[in-house]
Amino acid sequence: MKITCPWCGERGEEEFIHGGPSNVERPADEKNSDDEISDAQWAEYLFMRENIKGVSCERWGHIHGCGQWFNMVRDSVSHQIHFIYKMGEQPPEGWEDVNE
Amino acid sequence: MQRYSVMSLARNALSHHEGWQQAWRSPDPKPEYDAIIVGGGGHGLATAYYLAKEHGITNVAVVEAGWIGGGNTGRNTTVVRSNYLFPESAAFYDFSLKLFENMSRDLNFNIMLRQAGMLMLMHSRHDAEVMRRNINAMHMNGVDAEWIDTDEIIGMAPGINCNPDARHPIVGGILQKRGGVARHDGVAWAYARAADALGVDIIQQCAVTGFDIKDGRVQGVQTSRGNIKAKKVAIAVAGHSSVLADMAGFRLPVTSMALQACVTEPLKPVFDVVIMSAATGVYISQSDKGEMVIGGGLDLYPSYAQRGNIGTLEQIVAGILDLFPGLSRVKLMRQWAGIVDIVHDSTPILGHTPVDGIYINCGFGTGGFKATSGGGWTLAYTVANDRPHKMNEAFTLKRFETGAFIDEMGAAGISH
Amino acid sequence: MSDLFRLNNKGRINYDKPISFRFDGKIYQGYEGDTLASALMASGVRIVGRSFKYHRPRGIFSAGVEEANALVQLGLPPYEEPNVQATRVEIYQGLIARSVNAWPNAAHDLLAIVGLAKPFFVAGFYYKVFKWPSWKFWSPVVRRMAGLGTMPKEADPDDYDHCHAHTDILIVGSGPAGLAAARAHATSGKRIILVEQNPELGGSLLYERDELDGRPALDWVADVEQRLREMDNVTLLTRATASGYYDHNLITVSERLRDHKGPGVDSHMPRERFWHIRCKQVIVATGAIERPLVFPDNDRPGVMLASAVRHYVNRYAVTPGRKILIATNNDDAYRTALDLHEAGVQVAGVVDARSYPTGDLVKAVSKAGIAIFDGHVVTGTIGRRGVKSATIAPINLNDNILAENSQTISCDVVATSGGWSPVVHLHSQSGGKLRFDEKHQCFVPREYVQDNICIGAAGGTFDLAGCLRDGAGKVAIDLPKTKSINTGPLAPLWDIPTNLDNIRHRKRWVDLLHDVTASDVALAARENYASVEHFKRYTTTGMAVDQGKTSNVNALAILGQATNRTIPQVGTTKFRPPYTPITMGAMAARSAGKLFSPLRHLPVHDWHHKHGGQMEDFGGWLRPFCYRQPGESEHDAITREVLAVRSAVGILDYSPLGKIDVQGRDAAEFLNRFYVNNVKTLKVGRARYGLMLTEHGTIMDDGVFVRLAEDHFWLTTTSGGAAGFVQWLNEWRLCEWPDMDVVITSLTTGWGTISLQGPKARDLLSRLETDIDLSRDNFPHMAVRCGILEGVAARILRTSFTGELGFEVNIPLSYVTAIWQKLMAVGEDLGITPFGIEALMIMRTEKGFIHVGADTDRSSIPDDVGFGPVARKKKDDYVGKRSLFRPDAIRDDREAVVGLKVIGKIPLRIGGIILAPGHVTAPAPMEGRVTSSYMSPSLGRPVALGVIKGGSKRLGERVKIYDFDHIQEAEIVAPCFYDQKGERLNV
Repeated sequence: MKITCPWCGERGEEEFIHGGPSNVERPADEKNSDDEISDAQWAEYLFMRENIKGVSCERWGHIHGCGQWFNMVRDSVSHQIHFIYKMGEQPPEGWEDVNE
Repeated sequence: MQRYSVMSLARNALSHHEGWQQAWRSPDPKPEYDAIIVGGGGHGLATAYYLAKEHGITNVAVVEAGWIGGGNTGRNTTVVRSNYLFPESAAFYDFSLKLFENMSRDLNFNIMLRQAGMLMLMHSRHDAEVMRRNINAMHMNGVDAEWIDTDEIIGMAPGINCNPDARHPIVGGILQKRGGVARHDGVAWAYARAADALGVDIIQQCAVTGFDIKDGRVQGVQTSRGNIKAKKVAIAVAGHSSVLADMAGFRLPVTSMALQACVTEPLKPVFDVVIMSAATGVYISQSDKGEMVIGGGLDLYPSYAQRGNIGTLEQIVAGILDLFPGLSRVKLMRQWAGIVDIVHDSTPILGHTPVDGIYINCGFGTGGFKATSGGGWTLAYTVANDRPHKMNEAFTLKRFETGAFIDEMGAAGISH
Repeated sequence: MSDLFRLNNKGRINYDKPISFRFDGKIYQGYEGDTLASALMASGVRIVGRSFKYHRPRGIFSAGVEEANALVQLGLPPYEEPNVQATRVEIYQGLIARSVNAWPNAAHDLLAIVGLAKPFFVAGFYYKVFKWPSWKFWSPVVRRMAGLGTMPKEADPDDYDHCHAHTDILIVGSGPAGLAAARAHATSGKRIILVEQNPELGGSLLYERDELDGRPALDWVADVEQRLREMDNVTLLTRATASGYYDHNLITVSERLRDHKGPGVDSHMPRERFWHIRCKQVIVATGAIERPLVFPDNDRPGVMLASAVRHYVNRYAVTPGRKILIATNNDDAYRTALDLHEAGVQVAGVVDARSYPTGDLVKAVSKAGIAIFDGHVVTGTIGRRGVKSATIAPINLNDNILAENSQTISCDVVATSGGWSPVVHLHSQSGGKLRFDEKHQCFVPREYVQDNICIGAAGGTFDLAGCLRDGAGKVAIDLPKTKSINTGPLAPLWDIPTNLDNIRHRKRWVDLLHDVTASDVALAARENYASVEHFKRYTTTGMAVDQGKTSNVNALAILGQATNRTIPQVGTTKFRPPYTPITMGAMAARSAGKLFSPLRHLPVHDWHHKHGGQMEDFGGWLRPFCYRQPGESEHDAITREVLAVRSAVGILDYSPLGKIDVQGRDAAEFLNRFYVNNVKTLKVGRARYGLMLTEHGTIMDDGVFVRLAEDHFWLTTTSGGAAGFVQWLNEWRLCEWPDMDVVITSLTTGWGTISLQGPKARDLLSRLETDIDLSRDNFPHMAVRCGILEGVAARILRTSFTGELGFEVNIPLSYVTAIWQKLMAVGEDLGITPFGIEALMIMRTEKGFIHVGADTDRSSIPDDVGFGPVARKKKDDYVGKRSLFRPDAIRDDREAVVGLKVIGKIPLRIGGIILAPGHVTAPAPMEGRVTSSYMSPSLGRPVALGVIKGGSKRLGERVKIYDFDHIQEAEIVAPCFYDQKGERLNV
């Protein structure tokens, strides 16, 4: 794949690492949160994945480059990258329907 | 079932082989079955066979979106072995291996099991310490394992680089003599033929598009060839497990990734043993046609593409050349990939799901072929009895909540 | 002898440069411009190989990458290469080749006896037999016959390179379409790379007698080539095969730089370059490959592709025979008749399955007086070692019936054409779809997934004018004028009709290399291996070295006939990379061997090496295992080193230690989220040992963290874990807590570390010039001081992994050697002793300090190393904390670290397994294992650490430990054997 790092531009996939889906949220890290988060909820966060066949939002790191992390909307079947957006930003509206 | 034997071959040779029958039928789906197996790979077909043979449940359909054995069953590097560290794994995989050992006769189909040994190389003092734990653990688990020195390795694998100046010098190895290879397609076909003979319907080109679920209980499946009723549905679709789980309304701790393999042009046989090296991250065997069959690590991002990238393959080839420098001028003939179902601890999920009546077999990741027999056998047991067998009771979904993992990869640094 | 079959025309051969070579032990001669195949043909060599299964004699079948018969082992060690297609080898002086899969040689192969068993060796027969006694018993017999060439035994002396390029347009193939495309796009200024697998540009024009603008087409090729070479934006690569099409328009290309010069010539150059070309657009102009007709005994030497015959005649000036019969179902093969006629070779006739063919070429052949047997097909060939004659019979294509009245025609070559198959491999690899073109009876590209386009024959355009037009595309350029040729339609013909028994039961070869016949295809269909993938695997069609380039479509069609399906209904299998086999050395290129995973060197490497350091790979670093003095054994050296540390002072190059600098307003809060220990309460100038966890609660790494200022920390990690931990911190910082003010810098390779350990460490360090107060009271254990040491900025940490007084001196890397040498000089009278990894391991085991990666594995949690209480007591959340409260983490029979006091004098072996009570040998349930074990020089007895279920709750218990059938006994003790009170730290 050819990945366009938001900071460095187009680079080969060898420079990047995939870091999992973008939408996984760590359960709130309040004090003594262990009482509040059930084992099942914790498992949900750690392991349960949509593992979408098709388009999804993923986190990637340019670890052999600038070191920055960013998000991309990528198709797991065609490997086509539809959008790339920075950490903290939202994917463009309608990203789920890019294949239609 | 038309028996296969030297006699029947000779008899058919006289009639120019025009008297052979279908290995399995291609029936249309019936409106209802006692059990439906989703996925016509080795595991699904084996499940159907053992349901019929061991549990007398013969009103069974295997529904396959493509053609049987067309997924990872037909894409792996055909290794069988049971050299595992933890007792739960060892018991399961050794049982699988034993089923393999008797499979050709049981199914009346030569699956070409060649137990020429499985050699795991060690490359450093640290490797040797880790391996010593492994070999002792295998003895504890009742699995055969021997310590092999470099001279013996050279004898078993002429051309291997035992030069102490190598980047990853070989300092010894562990041999499981009962390990080896089997013909992957043959395993699927053998199970299909035997299951069909017991009355199982194998329905190809039939994609599952949804499940009928009422009050948390499965009633049947929707397919591209119509709805089929069944009170019990078993899913064995490896890399596509999440897609099926999504249809049934639950999630799995699975990520699908591409695992590559490749073969060289056929060479006159050099070695019989399967060789695996953790330090270089590769494994190699030589097929009965003479091709070097090579595998390595994953393309480390989610993929349903059944094709690999070039960087990973180049890394694999470099690792192979570290072991066999003589292959440098040999040419690579074909590259392909399978979609494997990766879970955190490289241990399968084999049993109940959150939906009553739906059972699953997934999470074998990079190493499902060797478990084709045991995976099918235990899933059949679980479906028939609605409870897991002792051999698969640790392989639950529940472990992702409790943390009771069986982490072979984490402990031994070796998966596959 | 050598010019026996040479023609009078010039071809592309340089008669001024004769070249002699050796094949199967005999010496032959050819000329510059010849391939091994054309030179052998010129010398009259008919049998060049043996088939894979039955060892049938086989001759040259094609003139290119589709060759299925002429495979050779090329060259001698160390330059030998197996399975080389003779049709692709450019000959050079002294070339040596031998046929593969034959013994003693291709002409006389004793293994041909296998052919007698043909009636049994049908597709998939081995699935039906060999079940008794076992395949293990039979497979050695089969394996003795397996394989083609032999694996080279010597290391490859040649180098290979990777080459990365970016371009706007990549054009694959330099036939009329590819060249027209290059010309059309070149003037746009776009960057263009044109790759051609042949040594010369031109594609089919190299062997067709086409004219462009009324001149030989090759004149036009030369013109275009010259223009392209003059343009800076165009790169031409010849002998370069586009082998793979990967995601996002990444194409790999194998460029062979010097195989044609002979082994060892120009060895300063790489043998091959493996290109990764990323391009905006790929123009696939890869042409088409002719497929043969299928008829009985169509594998005899002399049966060839009709286009290949033209290829040899026109390009290499050599004829494959004296009297050539042409078998076809289309007009194209008539070119072969005309070209042979023109070259003065006798044409025995054209056998055309079509009745009343009418195209211009047919008329020309008729006009030349060549016999045309229309409505006929070849029904067999005769000749044990090559075609001597062929039989033909009338065919009724409508009813697919063969008439019985056959006639025999004397000939020594049958040139056959069943139509053309576009080379859609790259398109298919790109993910593109195919459709079946009924007119030309072939698969052509349908839907493009990536940015590519197939033009010319690869796109289903077969006439010259069309190819040129395709190439120009939308760009308006002057295209050369072509002669218009009116061609008649092709008649689909795959297997010949099998209404006659004597035809049906004869071998009609579909896949020559794998010896698959039409009846094998029918058998697969009969047994319901009817899906194209099942059929392919069951019969092994298309899975040989040629990957079915001439056999796949025929096989699909015959399978369709056998299962009453059309070819599109049967479908194709997916084309996998590579298009043609690629050299493994080229794929690995410079990352093979020492650079596979480059070893890192210590800053003082040379000194270590010179002073007896036994350098070994520890986690990718070359580090001294121990320092052997003359006459010393390994054991002696290690003992000496340990005792020196315990009694005086030792010095260790500890530079691989992970070193991470963390600064920022939120540094303390940030780091507090990674350690099981409290980071926030750490005072400036102090250090603390800590564990870092994964989110799964398992131990990721351990190390000391130091507070240099309120907002400034210095972390150490294991050498193996350093890079990963920096990446880990950064991922959390950037993805989870982007608002925190933290800067993370890896200093692992920027700073070196010298560790001084031993009661005289302070004495030694004090001898260096420094502004740091090293006194016991002002520089306590687990404190850090920054200052100047010998004029160099230094961060000195008082810490110990040996149980002795210790200082870790961190200084910028370039000064490490100087400080090291200074320490060695000033410490001589103190008994300063360099020590290696083994001594380090022994001393930390004596003290019971865990070694992450040895005493832990990737499933260990803090409880397993005695840190459970610390980890759970910490109030703040941190990575991995929640996982420590799952049921499996809080069970009380987890395997935890203990000391093992062996009964007797022999140390335990690392990796020994602790047996469950009541068991005396394997197999048995496992209770734990030995994780660290050494003979302690300090104590004069063995010491060991291990993990056991229940851990320290079992102190005092005696256990049995299994190692390779040996059993030893040990007592479970606290994990500290030396100076249990820790008094030696406080000297």
